[in-house]
Amino acid sequence: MRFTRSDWIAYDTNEFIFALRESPTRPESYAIVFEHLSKFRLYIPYQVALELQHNLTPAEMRDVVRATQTCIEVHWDYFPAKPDRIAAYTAMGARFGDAAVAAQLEAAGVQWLVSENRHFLSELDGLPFRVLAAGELIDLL
Amino acid sequence: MERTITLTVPDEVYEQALSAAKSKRRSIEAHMSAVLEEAITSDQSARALLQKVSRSYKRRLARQGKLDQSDSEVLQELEAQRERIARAIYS
Repeated sequence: MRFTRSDWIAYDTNEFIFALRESPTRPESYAIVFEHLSKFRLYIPYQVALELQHNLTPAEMRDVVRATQTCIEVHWDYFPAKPDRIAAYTAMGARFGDAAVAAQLEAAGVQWLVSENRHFLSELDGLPFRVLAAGELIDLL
Repeated sequence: MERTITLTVPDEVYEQALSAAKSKRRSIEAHMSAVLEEAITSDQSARALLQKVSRSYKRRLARQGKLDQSDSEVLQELEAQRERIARAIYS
């Protein structure tokens, strides 16, 4: 599967959090958020939006939303996933929260998820989108 | 001071740029210069916003004694948070 600029890509919460922490062991997360954001059509699932709201203050959240306006296109999704699709992903072995994210990406037709979540990265087969760590995304650019 | 650069772009991008320049009644050179300036300014402002968020977030984490958490602790906390939030929404 080849990445093209017309593809939709989703960042998982952990990418934003590692980037904002400026974690010295996660320079790739920093790079995709601080340096490469404007190269993508970015999709933020409802679940991720809620998690960011949980970790950031309203003012910080506003600034993150404003920063994402520099993307080629950005879509913050505020609709929950369909319960039957969450159930389908949990039956495949996903944890409940990850299943909610997967169901939202499937419904939105997103092709890529960037995440450092080891469950997404290694334990789920048959997802309709490809899961990459931030470093792998950078290698594709 | 102004500098001159040479750009090599795919045909498709060139045609799009030419069409946009025509619609704005300016030369393709002037159009590309404006597009480049806008893109750089926009990237810089996004980075400045994110740096501001990062400083504020890290100050809060430091106050909470969480700034030195390991990557695996951060991931574990985010995973637990994900489960809590998802179950609160969908149950």
